[in-house]
Amino acid sequence: MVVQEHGSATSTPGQTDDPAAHTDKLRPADRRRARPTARLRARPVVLGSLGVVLTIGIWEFVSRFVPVPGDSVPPTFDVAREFWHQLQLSTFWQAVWLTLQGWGIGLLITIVIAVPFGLLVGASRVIWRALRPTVEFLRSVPGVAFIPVAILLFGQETQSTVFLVVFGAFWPLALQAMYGVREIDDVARQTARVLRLTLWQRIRHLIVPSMLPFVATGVRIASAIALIAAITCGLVLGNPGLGRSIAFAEAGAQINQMYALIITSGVLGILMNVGLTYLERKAIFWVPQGRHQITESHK
Amino acid sequence: MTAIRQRWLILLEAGATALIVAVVWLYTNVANGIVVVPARRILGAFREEWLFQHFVTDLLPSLERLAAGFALATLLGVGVGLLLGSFDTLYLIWQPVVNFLRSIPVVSLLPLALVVLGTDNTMKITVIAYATCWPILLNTTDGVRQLDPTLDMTARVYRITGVRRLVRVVLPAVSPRIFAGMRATLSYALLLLVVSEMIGSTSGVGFRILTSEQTYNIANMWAGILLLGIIGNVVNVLFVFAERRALRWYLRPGLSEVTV
Repeated sequence: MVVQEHGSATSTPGQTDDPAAHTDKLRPADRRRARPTARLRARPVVLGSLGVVLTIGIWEFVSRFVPVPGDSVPPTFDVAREFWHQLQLSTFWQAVWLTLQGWGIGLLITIVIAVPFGLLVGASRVIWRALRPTVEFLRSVPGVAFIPVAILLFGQETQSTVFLVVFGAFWPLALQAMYGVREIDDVARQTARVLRLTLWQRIRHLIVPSMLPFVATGVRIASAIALIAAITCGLVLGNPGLGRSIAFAEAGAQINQMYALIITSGVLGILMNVGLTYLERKAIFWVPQGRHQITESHK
Repeated sequence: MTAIRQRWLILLEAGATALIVAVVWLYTNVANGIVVVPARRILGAFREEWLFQHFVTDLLPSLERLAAGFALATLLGVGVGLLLGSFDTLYLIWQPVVNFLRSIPVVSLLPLALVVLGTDNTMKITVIAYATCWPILLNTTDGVRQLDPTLDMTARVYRITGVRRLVRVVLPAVSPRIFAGMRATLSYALLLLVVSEMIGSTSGVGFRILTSEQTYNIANMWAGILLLGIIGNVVNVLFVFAERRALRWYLRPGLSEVTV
């Protein structure tokens, strides 16, 4: 059983051995020859922008010439204007803030519970075998199935969002932490034994360094699910936040507003992904490039 | 020696699980609360609800949506993934758009889907397919782009090109990654099924769970959650079984360790 990562936003191929990275050091005479590589480097940016322009063009085309039920594809310009308008509303920022709050608190609680759980279960084969059927069963229940339970327990409060975020994000993170413990290098483990490291020393120098890359990836996966859970709470339960605002916009036939809010949720998703990827890189600087991606491309 | 150990571990698994179930059973019998119902009543509700009163009206539609959405997602993900993976220019053009689209938390697209597609089956299947296709698409794209150079050159030397290359060389080479993407995305399919049935639906397991809660039929609500767990597990087991069969050539011992 291997957790497959959903790809990563920053996995630009050829990033490491980019030939254009050396152009600065070249003598003027060589620079002319180096120009094609510089062009090669600009290629993703140019083509990527072309893709964005094409997408907006297709959208505009659909909104003008293709009949869609309920006039549900508004002109791009209207959506852009609505987006700009939303940015100046305090209700908009409040909704964003409440969604982020549920996401953040939930994610923090998840980290505090799931990482020690994964550590414990991953470290001992006996505990793992004892809990395996229970874990396998519980982790296939989708977290959102507990929405009614959250309503009964907490009503339309932040607590119910947090509750559902934890239920959704717990297993992905716990499993990653578990694999992290299992992946501790055998030689390193034996070295620690020979050196008679104390428990604290072993945690500090052996367990944490080898677990952290997996935990970091786990947090990134958990964060995406946490955001989904937080927005679902707004949609289904009517908890204040982005989800509810989107549902209200739909119910009030405010199509432009709905689009603006959906795009906002996408921007949040990207910011989280980019931010966590950055933190991941910073936090696990000791891992040789690419090694921590074992979980991503484990085949 | 190892056989004895194996037997002991299986015994441990069974014993510990029985213990956990017993503790939950006893706890639900003595505990009082809004959400805690004696386990006996949950099982009773499960038998009444799902064997077989709502089996045809709610369970079957759910499974149908799940299967259709997942199949569509696989087709879409593999198809587009092959395209984007094979042509570098296409990949570079669509990469930012793909990254943005997959970053949108899918549930926030549900209201849009309601407007465009209404509340019928098509909406749920489309939403499940959309949410589920990204990991498959990305895995396929990466797989094609990182095709083993030796394999690629061998195909070129033998002048295997076009469709034949795609079917005989590329697809088999990326199939482990396609399956990995499908496995990762199964849980998303289930998640979207539940949410879409809770929002706009008059049938389905998600719908039953929510209405049970709204009518304070707590035992029925837990029975529905239990059913979702069972569905999740069965789907998982079926998938692993299919994967083992399809990738038998790849999973030969010593080649890799896709599953533990």
